[in-house]
Amino acid sequence: MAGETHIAIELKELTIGYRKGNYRLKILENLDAELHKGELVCLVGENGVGKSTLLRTISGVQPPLSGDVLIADRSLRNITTLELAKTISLVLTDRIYAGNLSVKELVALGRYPYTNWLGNLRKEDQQKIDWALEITGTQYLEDQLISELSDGQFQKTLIARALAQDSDMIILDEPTAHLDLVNKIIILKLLKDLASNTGKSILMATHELELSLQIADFIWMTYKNDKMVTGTPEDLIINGSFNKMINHEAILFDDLHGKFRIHNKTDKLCSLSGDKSVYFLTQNALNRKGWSTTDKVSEISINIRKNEKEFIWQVRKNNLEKEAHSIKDMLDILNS
Amino acid sequence: MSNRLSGIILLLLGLLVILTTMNISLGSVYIPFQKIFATLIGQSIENEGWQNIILQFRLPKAITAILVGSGLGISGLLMQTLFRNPLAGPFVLGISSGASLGVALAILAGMTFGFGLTQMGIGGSWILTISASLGAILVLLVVVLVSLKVQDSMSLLIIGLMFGSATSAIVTVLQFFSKAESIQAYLVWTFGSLGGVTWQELQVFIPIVLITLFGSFLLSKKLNALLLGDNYARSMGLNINNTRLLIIIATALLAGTITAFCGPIAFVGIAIPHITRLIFNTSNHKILFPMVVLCGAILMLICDIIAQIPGREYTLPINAVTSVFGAPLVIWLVVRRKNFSKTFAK
Repeated sequence: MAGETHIAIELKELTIGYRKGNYRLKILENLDAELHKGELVCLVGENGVGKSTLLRTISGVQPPLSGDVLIADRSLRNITTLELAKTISLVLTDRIYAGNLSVKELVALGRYPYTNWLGNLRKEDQQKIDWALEITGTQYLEDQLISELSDGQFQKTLIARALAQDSDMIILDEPTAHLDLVNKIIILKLLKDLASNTGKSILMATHELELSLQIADFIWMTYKNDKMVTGTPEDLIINGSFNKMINHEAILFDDLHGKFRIHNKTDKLCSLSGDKSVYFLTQNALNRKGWSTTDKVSEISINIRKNEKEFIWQVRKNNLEKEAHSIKDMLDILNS
Repeated sequence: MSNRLSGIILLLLGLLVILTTMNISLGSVYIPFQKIFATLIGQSIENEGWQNIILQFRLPKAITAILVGSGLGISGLLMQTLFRNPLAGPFVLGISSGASLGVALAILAGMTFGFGLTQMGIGGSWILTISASLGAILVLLVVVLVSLKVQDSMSLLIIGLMFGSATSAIVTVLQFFSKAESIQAYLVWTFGSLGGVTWQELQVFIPIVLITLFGSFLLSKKLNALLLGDNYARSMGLNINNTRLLIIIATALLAGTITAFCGPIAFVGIAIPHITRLIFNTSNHKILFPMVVLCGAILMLICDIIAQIPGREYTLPINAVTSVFGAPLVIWLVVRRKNFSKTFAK
């Protein structure tokens, strides 16, 4: 998967906002970003900065003011509602006006774009529903009414509904709001596993900065009255984008090594040495991509240097040595 | 469909048959049951008066009750789902106010200009029906035009309520300038009546209600999607504006036709969807739909039986009975289910 540039969502000089007659209220301007297939991207930014508006624009609910959104290389303007329904599914914070709907009925609604006029479920629909319930761990709830669910169970059910919709992309608006820490981690872990195991592209607006550092492949960071910045979480820490957004840099770094760290399954080994100041960040990125690190000699090794201006990652692989100037470059070299 | 559900449907169908028979059997004139049965299966009985009462009055009234109960129940369900509001009913869009205005104009203005409807007999009843229809259609057209302009359902709900208030105000002004006897005639119309519908009128009434009911059943998949809210519904490929228009037209046809023939029958439209939801514990329209039709018909037949007060000469206004009898039922169901508000939203 890595190294490939399969772009699921691309923003091209996108300006979003609202129009009323001739008046245009711009919320965010000149956004350029890419979301690759199988990646989990967190969209962060303070309240009111326009995260939800951006998600609404990407999911086709409201038209862009200018620029374009490309979904799998096609302009959003040329995609019909039904086609879009088969490409993007949503998990929102909207109230659901049917407490009497059972979990299974709610998840089955995800099959809406595929069923006939009466919504009858064929065998294939049934299988997708069962799969969605299983992968989110909600089978045991299937006959319960959604009014009886806890917030965590309800959120998983909503994700199951989005999965049943069988789309390549899932867009979520603050899926972990109102949840306790454990449930937050369960949901985020579920999303991360979905992205890496099923190849779905996931875009999620969230306020969970510390947690997104651990699970996001990329972060889209929005600012009021400033350009959106994108990059791996670590690159954004290194280039100061995080500090620019939150004024408590100490909190960020403390939480990076906090006890709620998600355990990443690693099956590849490399040696890591060098400058201690970005050692842990490099290790974090490697762990996320399935690498465990050692300080003993190994076939693949990474050494971190620092010159007056920047950090340099020296990657030695197959007796070839390459230099990377960001974590992203380093990961690309490792995966090439 | 589960066994339990099929069982309940069979039970309700049985109840419907029994109540229909009871409804036809009971009334101010006592008719032995064998005679009623004989008449219903097409035999002629020696007492022509009885035969007339059964075929020309009681049978059309029972059919009307069934159509009114199921039609208003379904239009209430459609409105509650469209507006995601438990207080919505068939008349929130101002349909009945429009019909009232039409009737008020016909009765009050008509009398003022010298052609009293009361003297016109059968023709007068058609004039009432036509003026009610015209009023309802007029309001419907305005609401549809507005719905094309307004993007969200909540605004539409408020606009509908405003239309209702405005039309009621015009009716009040008309009443203010009218004679007591015409106000009386108008008031009687607002009490609602199931008994005034003739076979001739049923030929129009039955097909409109049945076809619209069938048409709205075809919307049940879309209605289920709407339960999740406009954003989710759109993201699953539902054309919101289109669906909203279809729902409004179906509701207007049902509520408008019923009001035209029977007057503004209150309460049933709001209560029946709630009663059905509470009894069957579901929000799934594919189940709710047939259940609302059955429960609506049953409730209306019961109300009509009560209204006749067996053995007495007069009948109570049907509007009074539906509320007096229905309100305690809804209160009981709501109190019994402690988390009622949750059954409507999560």
